[in-house]
Amino acid sequence: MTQVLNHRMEELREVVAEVLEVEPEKITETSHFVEEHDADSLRAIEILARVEKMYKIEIPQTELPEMENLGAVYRIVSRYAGWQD
Amino acid sequence: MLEYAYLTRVLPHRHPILQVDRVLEYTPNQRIVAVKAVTGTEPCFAGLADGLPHSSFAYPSSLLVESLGQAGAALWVLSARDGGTVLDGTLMFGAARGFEFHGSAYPGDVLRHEVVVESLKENSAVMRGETRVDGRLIAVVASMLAIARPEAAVAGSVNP
Amino acid sequence: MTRNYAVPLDAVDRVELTTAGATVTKRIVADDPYIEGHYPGFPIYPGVFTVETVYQASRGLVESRREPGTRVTLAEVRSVRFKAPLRPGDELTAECELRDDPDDISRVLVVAECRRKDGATVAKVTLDLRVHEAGDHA
Repeated sequence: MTQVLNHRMEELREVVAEVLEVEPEKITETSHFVEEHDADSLRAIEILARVEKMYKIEIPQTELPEMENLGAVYRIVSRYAGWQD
Repeated sequence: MLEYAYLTRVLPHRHPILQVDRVLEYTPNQRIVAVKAVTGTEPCFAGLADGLPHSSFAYPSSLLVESLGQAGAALWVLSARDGGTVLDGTLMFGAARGFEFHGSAYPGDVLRHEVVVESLKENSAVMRGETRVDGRLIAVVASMLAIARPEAAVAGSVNP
Repeated sequence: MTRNYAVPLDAVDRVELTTAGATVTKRIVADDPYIEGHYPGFPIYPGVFTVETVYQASRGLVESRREPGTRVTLAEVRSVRFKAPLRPGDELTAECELRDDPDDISRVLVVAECRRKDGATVAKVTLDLRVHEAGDHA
């Protein structure tokens, strides 16, 4: 189980890093996209679109403001994808 | 098939920056195929010196991006209408990533844009697409992002 | 005035060389070509024209630095994000950084931070330019 969790977290870290144009190592579960990685509302929309496609899920745009760090993205995706941690 | 007259009721763009002439195929929330004919009488070909080579008459890349983007915008607006909603505010080009140019179009060519939806929300749309001339690949875009913003925010300022 | 290649408008007023590349300015005016349709009664400098400003300036710069007859085209808009609109009366300033590709002399990367006079960031643009040597009309 932990193995799968780590794998998914790494996948999400890759996606976030690519959209924010920073090295994956710089993205921690709590580093703030806007304050620490120079993100804006457009980037959050892009991250949302990528993870929707990757996991074939649909996430409402009302979740966008909450997607402020990797940990939050993971929690939101796992809720809509029905991942059992 | 949707003609130019109808497109002026879908897009806010007008002559001469309305860079889509006709919609050939359209599947709501999924896909659109639209064409734009390039002609030597367009403003972008004005004022060119005599004796220039063929390459000087390439349709400008920025207008190609605009044209493909407008095809995507039409897909979004049409899908919203067919879903019984209206986009809330002014449509804006938000961002694009990986817009590659593989060839050029010249006066006499017809651009054929195909745009596919990646993600469609109430206030944003993410799409990808490609442009061909006679089957020849001219451009590919990995991701284009459009947003709908209230009029006041457009006049005012900055994306939060 | 005559031009050497097709452009939607003259998107550059002034170019000042910097160590990294150039600072480019363009005054936004409502009667520039194409603006009348973007949008009627509510003119906004189209986002793609900000890309055009960066492209025209960097193309001119690279062409002037290479052999006579060198021609530059746009290979890829790697990334562009639009953050605020430009209206008539605004002035666009693009801080362009040009990076030659160490592995390929036919490629130049351009990274531009575009601002309005009030300091607001208008757009961030990253372009990949293709350099054609004299005689290559592909």
